[in-house]
Amino acid sequence: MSPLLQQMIEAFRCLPGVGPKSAQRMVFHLLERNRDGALKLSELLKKGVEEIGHCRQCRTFSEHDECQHCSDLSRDNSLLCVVESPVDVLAIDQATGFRGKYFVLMGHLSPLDGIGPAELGLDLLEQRFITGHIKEVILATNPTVEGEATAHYISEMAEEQGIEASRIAHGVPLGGELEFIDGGTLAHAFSGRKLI
Amino acid sequence: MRVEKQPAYILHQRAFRDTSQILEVFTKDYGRLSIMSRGSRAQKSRLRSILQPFRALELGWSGRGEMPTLISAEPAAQSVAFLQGKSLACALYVNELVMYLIHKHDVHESLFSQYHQTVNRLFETQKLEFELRHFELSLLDHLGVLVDLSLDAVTGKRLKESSKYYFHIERGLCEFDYSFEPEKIPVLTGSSLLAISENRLDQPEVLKDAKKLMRYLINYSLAGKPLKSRELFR
Repeated sequence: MSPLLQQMIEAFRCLPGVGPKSAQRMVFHLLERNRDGALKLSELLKKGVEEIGHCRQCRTFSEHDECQHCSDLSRDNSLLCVVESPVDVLAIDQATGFRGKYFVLMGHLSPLDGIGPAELGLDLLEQRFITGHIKEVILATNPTVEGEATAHYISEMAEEQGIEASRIAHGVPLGGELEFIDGGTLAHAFSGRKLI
Repeated sequence: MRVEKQPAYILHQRAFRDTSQILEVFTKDYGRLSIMSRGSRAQKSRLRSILQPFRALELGWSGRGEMPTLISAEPAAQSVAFLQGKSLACALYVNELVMYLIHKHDVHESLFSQYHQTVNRLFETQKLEFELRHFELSLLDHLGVLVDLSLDAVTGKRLKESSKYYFHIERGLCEFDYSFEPEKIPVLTGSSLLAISENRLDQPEVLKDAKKLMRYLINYSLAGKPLKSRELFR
């Protein structure tokens, strides 16, 4: 195999879920059948990686100073939803019709990985709490130990500023059957039951 | 080597490749070790919700060398809703201590049961400091850092309740005479030290002194490595 071809295959392996075989298939597909697509992909990859940075306000990915959400005047400034990653913003936006603003942590607190409040840039969030006229902060971090620790820490920050903090509920998935749900989730759903 | 149904806790997990993870576990009979868990991060893996920190588990693994492979994982007890709030921050602190201070493959059976107790009590109690100090005492004892806290290292006699003592890492407890000021070394009363040595941590001032002493000894044992979980307490 020619060295350049070899290099291309090697480069495709940086994608998640792509091993040597799939990388090879992708490269051959592009070269044999879709050279235009390949050119477009390479141009956009370069442009995107060079231009897309973080939104100044919420830190999600954006090629502008402020992302679409943050510059959208129709969104409610007094509601702030805190999530771990930019994908979560998309997920919540598509599923819930939430009309407030977001803050993306780009991670979670994890002492054993050396990530504390400073590494996570929580001072930026604190500034937002102080100056942002926020009434409620919705903590939508993942239901993992680290996500929970992060939510707790931020809720204490909010409390210091007199801001109400709420945590998204954990529970059984819609359309699921109790029998097949793992014990941990069920226990959590049970202890967090609501009056009807 | 094949191990089955070993009581264990997960201290930490790291993602590996697309669907696997490396688990850092603390076990009853094999001490602390790393286990490779294949496929457990996959979308449909049953193990995702089981392999969580602070959950009593029974793990099975096999393989030689530095990193065996996980072959089974079951919750050991009725599952409890996970730790929240301050208790969680305390539990993360406990995990950090175990990760940094317990060497891999050193077996500490009684420390494991102390860990089990501490984690479970952190769920229920308001007296978080009290539980943490108990765990720290037990940990330092296992590490061999702790000397007999009821004896004066110089005279070999029981401490005098009313005297003050400082902890000398090599020698032990020495009576504090006022002719010099020790730098960053805690000076504690005999009565506090005696109470700590007998595990009587109920009094607020004893608890406070215990914290000073533990912090000093833990920082010494860590040899300069910072504990990130301390930053979680506001």
